[in-house]
This record gives sequence, structure tokens and C-alpha cells, in this order.
Amino acid sequence: MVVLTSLAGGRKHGYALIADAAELSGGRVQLKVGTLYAALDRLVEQGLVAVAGDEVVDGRNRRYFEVTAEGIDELRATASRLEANAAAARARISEWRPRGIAGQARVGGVS
Amino acid sequence: MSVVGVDLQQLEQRYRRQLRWYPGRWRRENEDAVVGTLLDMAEEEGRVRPRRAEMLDLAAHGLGARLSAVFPATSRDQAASFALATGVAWSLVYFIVQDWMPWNPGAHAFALDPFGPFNSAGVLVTVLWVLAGALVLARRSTAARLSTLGAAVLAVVLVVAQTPSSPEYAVVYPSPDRVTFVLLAGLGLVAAVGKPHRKWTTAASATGWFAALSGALLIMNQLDTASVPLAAGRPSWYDFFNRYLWAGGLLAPGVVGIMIVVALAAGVAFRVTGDRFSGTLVLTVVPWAASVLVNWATFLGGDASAVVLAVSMVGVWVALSIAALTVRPRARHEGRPHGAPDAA
Repeated sequence: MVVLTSLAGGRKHGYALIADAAELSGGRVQLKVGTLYAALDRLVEQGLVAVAGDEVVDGRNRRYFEVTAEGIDELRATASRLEANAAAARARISEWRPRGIAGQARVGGVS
Repeated sequence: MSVVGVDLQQLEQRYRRQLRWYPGRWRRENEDAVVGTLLDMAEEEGRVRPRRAEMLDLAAHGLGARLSAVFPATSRDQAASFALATGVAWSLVYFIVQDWMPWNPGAHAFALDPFGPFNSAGVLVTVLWVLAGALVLARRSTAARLSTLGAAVLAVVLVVAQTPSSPEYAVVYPSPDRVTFVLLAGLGLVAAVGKPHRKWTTAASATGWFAALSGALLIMNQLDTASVPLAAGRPSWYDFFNRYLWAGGLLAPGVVGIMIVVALAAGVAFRVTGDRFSGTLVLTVVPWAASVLVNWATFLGGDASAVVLAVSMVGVWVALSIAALTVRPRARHEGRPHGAPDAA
């Protein structure tokens, strides 16, 4: 999901994707290059991401990727699912009240 | 050229060498882009040596890409689903008719290696298969794959442990049955190389296998007027799988061998038309091929003509498998610059 989220902000090459994924996750996601390209392979095969051209910068090849319309649909569906889960969790949290330890009765005035 | 420039050049060479873990086609399409990203990372982090973790990551994903190039994920998942369905049904039927035999409690007294109230420790293999089926239903596919892998390892351990205790296999029919358990071991491995689908087709395959196998065994038993009751006072219905399937029965080596040839020939036809189902068929026949070879070795081991037939059959299987995986499709899909490696 982090790759789709990053590409939803515009087309990016490999290193820009890794840096953006780290920023989006507050540093928790540190993608390795092999892992990133395996994920991109899968996303391209699923039609969620497309190659958006190659450029040579300072003698280095940079391949750009962009999210497709199907990728945006998938990202929207995932975000909705996460929002629904979060809403359910918040509702349960608001209903929660601390309970006494089972079997232990509180009697006023008795210490 | 500066010292840093030389160091970066050496770093690039190391990365390119590490990318040899990937298949050639993948490298031709992606190597320059991946090396560019790796060098960007190294430069940003101010280093001129590769990190051990990134080298291991490249090796692991390279091997994965090689596996996917021969057997795409779709093929592995389809074969895994069918293997799971087959394994669950076969192990259950085996458990009922050979390890449990509720209709014949006297059989336990004649079991060579009883396991608690059951006739052999093969019941543990059935438990792992049923667990795997339940885990797939609960959408826990990784745990299910571990369970089928455990079932495969246990089946091999039981067969190996049993072998020295019963050298005259064809005479004494020990349990668990050797050919069946080699088949179950192969099915366990195939079920673990992909992600079994939680679909109605998987459930239908398991139900179909269960019905077909039980029905075939019952019919064979009804038709059997020569061998029941068994010799030496043993209870009847003692060796269903050997008597009615493997040892000259419905699934004699020649019969299964030819069925494998037909399946692989179909795989070649699928391949020619560009269909990835060819990889599914090749993976699917592997457990059956292993069981045929064990069956041949068990019952026809000393027969020279059987050896010649077995070697010829294996040659045909290998040739057809290679063709099913490598023949250039007639209507070939065009590869995308960064698509998953095609099976070609």
C-alpha cells in the first residue's frame, strides 16, 4: 500500500519511492531495493502501476513509475477498509469502561 | 578519475555481479534501473560498499524471480490449490480405510506398527492435512503451507523409518503404505510452493477426490472375490490402497505413467497457445511421478524389463516437462519493460 500511496503523489523513480515510503511511514518502512522492485513487478503485473519512462541522469539509469486508474481504485478501497476498521476501533474504545477484578466486591465504608 | 569515482565503479560492478541471481531476461529489462537505484542509495548514505542486508535481499528476490520465470505465481497457486484438495481427500480416505477401520476393530491386533488406537502413525499426517484445509478456510494460507510442509516431512520420516523394518514390503504390506505416503509427501511440497486458493473449486476438488477414491475402493472390494479374507488369519480390508490401487490395481505404474504423459502433452499444447496452465500441469504431476517410481521400485524392482520401461517413461516425462516449460508460445505475450518475468 505504501508504494501506491507514494505514487498517488506523482510519478517517481526507485530511489525517490524508497525515500518517500520512509517519510510517509515516519521512518518505520525502510524498503530494500530488491524488495521494492519485487513489489513493483507484482503491481505492474496486476495493472495497478505502470512504467512511465526511463531517463539517464549523471550516467545512471532512472526508471519512473506511475499509478494507474486501477491502482487508485485499489488504494481508495484499501483506505476505506482501513477507515472502517479504525472507526470500529474508536467506537469500541469510547464504550470501554474499566472493570473491577472479577470476584472482588467493593463495599462502601469497609476497608 | 577520482578515488570516489573508482570506488563507485567498483561498487557498481559488485551490484551487477549480485544481480546475476536474477534470470537473464529480467536482468536485460531491469538491471540498469536497479543498479541506478542501488547507487543512488549508496551515494545518499555516503558509502562505497554494499550492505550485507541488501545483498541478501537481492539474492533472495533473484532466486524468487528465477522460480517465477519457470513457474509463475499463478501456476504455483493453482497447483498448490489442487495439491491441497488432493492431499486432504487422500489422507482422509487413507485414515478411514487403513488407519482406523471402524468396521473392523480386530485389524488393530494385526497392525505391524500400531499407534495408540490406530493402525499406524500415519494418522498424524492426516491431522496435518486436515489442519491445512481448515487453515485455508480461515484464510491463514502461510500457516496452511507450513502444515502441508510438515505433513510432507512427516510422511517421508515415516516411510524411511518403516523401510528397514519391513524389507519384504510386497509380502507383508506394512502401514503406512509406502506409495501413498510418497504421493502425500509430494502433494505436501507442491501445496507449499504456492498459495492455496480458498475457492469453491478447491472444495469441489477435495469432495470429488474423496467421493471418487472411496467409491473406487468400495467397488473394487465388491468385485474382489479372490483375496478376501486374506491369508494367515489377517482381517479382511487390511490393505485397500495396495491391493486395489497400486499393486496392479486401478493406479498401476503403467496406468499412472500414461496419465502423466497425457497431462504433460496437454501442458505442451497449453504452452504453445501461450497459456500459463502448462506450469500448473508440470507441478501437478510431480507427486504422481514420484509415487509411480516408488511403486515400480517396490513391486518390479528386480525385473529388467520394468527398469527399461521405467527409464523410458522418465525420459518421456522429462522431455515433455522441458517442452511444456520452454517451448516458444505461438501467440506470445509481449513483455512489459518492468513486468513480472514471463515463463519463456
